[in-house]
Amino acid sequence: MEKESLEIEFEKHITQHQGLILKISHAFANGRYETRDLYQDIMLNLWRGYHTFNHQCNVSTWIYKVAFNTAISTIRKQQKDDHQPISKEMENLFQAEESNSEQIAELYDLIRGLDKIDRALVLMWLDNLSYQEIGEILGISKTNVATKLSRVKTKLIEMSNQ
Amino acid sequence: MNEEEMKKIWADLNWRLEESEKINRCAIRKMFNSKATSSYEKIRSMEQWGLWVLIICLIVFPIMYFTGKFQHWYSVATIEALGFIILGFSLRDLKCLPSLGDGSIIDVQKKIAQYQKNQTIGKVLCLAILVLMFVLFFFWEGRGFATDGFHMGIFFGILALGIPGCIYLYRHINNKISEINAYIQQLTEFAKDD
Repeated sequence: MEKESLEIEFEKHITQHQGLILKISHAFANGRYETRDLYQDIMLNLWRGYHTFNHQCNVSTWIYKVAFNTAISTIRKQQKDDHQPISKEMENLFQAEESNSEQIAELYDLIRGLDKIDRALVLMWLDNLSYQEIGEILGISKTNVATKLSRVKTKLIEMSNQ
Repeated sequence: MNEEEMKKIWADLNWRLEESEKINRCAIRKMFNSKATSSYEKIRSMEQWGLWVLIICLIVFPIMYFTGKFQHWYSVATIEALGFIILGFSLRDLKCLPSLGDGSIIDVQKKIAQYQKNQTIGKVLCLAILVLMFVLFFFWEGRGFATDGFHMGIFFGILALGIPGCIYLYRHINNKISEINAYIQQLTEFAKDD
């Protein structure tokens, strides 16, 4: 019973935050197979960590941390044959998300042009997280967040004007 | 694109994501199941490749004898005999790893357990046989290569690549097995059928 309730709880959190995981997958991977592989890796690490998650922070904060750690530390192969198929339901989710406007696609391209840590910063800024929350997730001070973010935003604008 | 425009675009994206279909436990289970079965298929694929390489070697050695590259029939016969022993081990391992089709994580668990049992002694024995093959071959045929730099180079090249290659393959397969066992241990709750 306890295991089943853990599964139900996990499902609830994942469903609530599936958009967040999708956005991180697209920001840190490029290409059809790579984004899906990263998505699965993040989900797997979330499930692995869920048993020891003690709810001392928000679920969303925890998901950001795990997802960013997974995305930043993953080195991906580019070969098509190495990729794992996903279920039909998840494929539908990806396809719905990928039928984006050109502007969203362009924004993702800009984000992917940044270093991995900068991508994490930008994603959290776009999601309207406070500097405190961003600092907590990345393990840096509020001041440091402000400085880095200012630099990254300038860089993003320059890249978009090129 | 300025900051405000980026925020607006992102808000639009968030709205689309909120409206999209929600994934459920069934979809999560299928995804986790596919991670374990995919690792299983990788091991199976590596074993198949190894088998083909071995078969090619078993064909090439006699051809090289009949074309005069190797001097002694008994060296080729011994190498072939030892090679067939390794072939036997490979076929036994592949028998433990049939194609899963739509198999579940429980099927993977059973097959990997049997394969792991075979690996414990099997691969060590195969490596020992390979080393023996090279030593005997060099002892019997190597003297003929003493003045033939090209064949010496090929021979030592195979030696330098083959043994570390086998050790690497053995470790890689063991890592994959550990990966699968870790998936199974953590994901069994999601692996039950609906």
